[in-house]
Amino acid sequence: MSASILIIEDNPALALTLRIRIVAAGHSVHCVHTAAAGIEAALDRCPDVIILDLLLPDMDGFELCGKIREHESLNGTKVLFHTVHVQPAFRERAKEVGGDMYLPKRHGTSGVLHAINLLTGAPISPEQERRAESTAINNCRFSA
Amino acid sequence: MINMKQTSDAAPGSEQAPEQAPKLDGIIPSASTELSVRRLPKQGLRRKLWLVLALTMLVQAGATAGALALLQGPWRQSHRFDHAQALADLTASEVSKHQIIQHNPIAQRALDRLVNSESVRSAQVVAHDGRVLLSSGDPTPADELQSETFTASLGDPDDIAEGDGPPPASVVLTVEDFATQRAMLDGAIALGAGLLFSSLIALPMACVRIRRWTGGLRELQTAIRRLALDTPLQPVQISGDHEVAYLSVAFNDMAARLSASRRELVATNQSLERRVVERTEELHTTNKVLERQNVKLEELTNTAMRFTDDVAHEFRTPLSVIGEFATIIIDGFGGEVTEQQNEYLRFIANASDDLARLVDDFLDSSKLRSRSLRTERSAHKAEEILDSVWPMIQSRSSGAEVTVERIIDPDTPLLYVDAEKTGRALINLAVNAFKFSGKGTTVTIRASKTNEGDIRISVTDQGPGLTPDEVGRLFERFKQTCSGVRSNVKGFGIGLNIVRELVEINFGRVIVESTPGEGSTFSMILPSDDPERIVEMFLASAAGRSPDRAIGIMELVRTGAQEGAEEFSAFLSGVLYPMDLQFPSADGESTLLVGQTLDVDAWSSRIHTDYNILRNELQDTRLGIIRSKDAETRYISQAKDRILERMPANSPALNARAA
Repeated sequence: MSASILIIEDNPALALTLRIRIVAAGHSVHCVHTAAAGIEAALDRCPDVIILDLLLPDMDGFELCGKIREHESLNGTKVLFHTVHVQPAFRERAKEVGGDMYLPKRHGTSGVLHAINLLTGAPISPEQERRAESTAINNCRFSA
Repeated sequence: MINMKQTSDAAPGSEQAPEQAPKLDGIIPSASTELSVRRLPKQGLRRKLWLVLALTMLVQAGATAGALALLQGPWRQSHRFDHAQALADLTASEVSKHQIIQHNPIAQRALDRLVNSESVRSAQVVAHDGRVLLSSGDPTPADELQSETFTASLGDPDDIAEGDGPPPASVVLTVEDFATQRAMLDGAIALGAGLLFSSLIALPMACVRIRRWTGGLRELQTAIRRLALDTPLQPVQISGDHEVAYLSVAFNDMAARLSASRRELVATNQSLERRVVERTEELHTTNKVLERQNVKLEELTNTAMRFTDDVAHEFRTPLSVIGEFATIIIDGFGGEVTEQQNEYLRFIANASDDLARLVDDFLDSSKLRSRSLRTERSAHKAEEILDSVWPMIQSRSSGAEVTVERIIDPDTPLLYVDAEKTGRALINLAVNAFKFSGKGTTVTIRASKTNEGDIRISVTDQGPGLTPDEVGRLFERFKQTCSGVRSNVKGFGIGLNIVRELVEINFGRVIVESTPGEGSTFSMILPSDDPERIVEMFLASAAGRSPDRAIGIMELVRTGAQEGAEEFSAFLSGVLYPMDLQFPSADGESTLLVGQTLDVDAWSSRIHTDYNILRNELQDTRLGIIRSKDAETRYISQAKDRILERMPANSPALNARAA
């Protein structure tokens, strides 16, 4: 099952690693490195999932998420916060501004693939299931 | 003689002449104002008052006697008249019956009786025409006309004159002792007048004297009232040689002393107040200095922590990139990879992975310190945890050319832990063991049940082992054992320290058993899925870090249990078990106390000060354990008292409190 993914990440190398892995998993990917470009691309493409870094050069991820949530056309788009920071306060803030999941970067690209499956409702592989047991990755998703 | 004994050290010879009004230098006392022994006058006020009283009584007695004498005459007269009337009645009846009274023996006897009994000189019944019908006693001589004659008519002369009845008659009594009585009357009047006159003279004089002697009392009364109301007071000036004058002297002395004591008291009070103000200011100043220093220290600490956090964050992304690209190339996304390249790339991936994990652990450790690390505890099988990290452990063991074995005892109970953190602790221990093991040796990972029902996950290597001293210093942050054997091995100080923190956040503990030359066993003791055991292990974990304070917590639980406070136990385990011992902080954010040095003071005071926040928070959770506010308040306050009682005398917290 193929999903369209928008990566908003200011580190091009990290964005590239994500892009390679996600494309390999069969999804279509578009990468941008600034918040402004991110909004534009989101409105243009209406992706299934936006992978959003917290620290962007022109705006922080929370603010950007708020702006995304202002657009009705993006109602169906899931926002995945992808960040180094693990503070509970950040997590709470992400939830407040309308994020769907808060995934620390320590879960790696495999964690991102798992998150995409969770958010798009795609089946979870047994390997992912097993790994999720120990990493508690499922808890990164906000409950409705 | 009456002496007024006064307080001891009166200056000898300081007797004061009482003739003059007692003089005081204002009312300010000095050594010489001590009351000396003073003599009272012989003609005391009391004696004078007695005299006046005696005089007055005399006057009264005289007046009474005079009055009695005056009253006697008229009384006797009326008495006689009564008798005469009775006789007249009798005689009249006899006259009407017998017509002639002259020979009436009954009337005669009555007349005789009157004369005999009533000191009447003579008595006659005289007819209207002047005839004496009956007579008794001596007839009245003409020269004693002043004798009083009582006449009682024997019927109405007009009535009798018109009818045929007997002629009217009168009873004439002659009083023989009239002259004596008159003399007595005169004497009585004279005596009464004399006494009245003397009274009229004596009473005003007595009034004047009494008024003079006691007039000072009013002045004294006014002065006493002013003294009581603490209003300005002048000495009372009463002249004379009597008690009131002496009373005024005593009063002036007393007032002077009292006033001096008052001034002294006021002065002492003011001095005390000044000192309190000074001390308070000193304290404020010291407090401010301390506060500033505290703020500065906190800023410094925060800066240091932010710096390390920032550094760690900055490391994290590049490390991810390195590791990810290594695996991307290994997985063939960059084209075909030779076996040799594959092997080298794995080194890159592993190394960056190690470093990334270290950074993660470091960040976690930092979160632990700032009380903001989330834990996700739930029941897990030991097998699940080992499975989740097994690929990593295997890949690392093969790199170190070490064989790794896993043994899970069948009776191993469920663990109640944060699986991710437990897994990371296990990886750390395993990687540590691989590093210290020689090539070709075996590392054994084993899960078993302890005697207490906990779970033990141990990692045993066949490395060089550690001396007891080295074991002691093993967990000191950033320190490394300095044995030469391992000088070529990269440090793992942070790693072991983080293992301990990760285990302790699960209320567990790390045990190291080692024999030099034979190898080491690093074990994590973790709680089983049993709420009571989790509380116990939490307490044991806290005791390991801060024994004197953990006693307080122990006591808290014990108190609750002893007094049958099931609610309290529920409260405590309710707090510890599902909530990670999260208590609200002043800014309203939950803080995590587990893993911190447990500060009972802070904890108990927080319970008190933020009681409502805590209660609301607990009520918001699924723990409906607070049923009675009163009961809960009682438990908490009792527990706090006991904590303070049980705190060891050398407790830093107590010392701080005392200071």
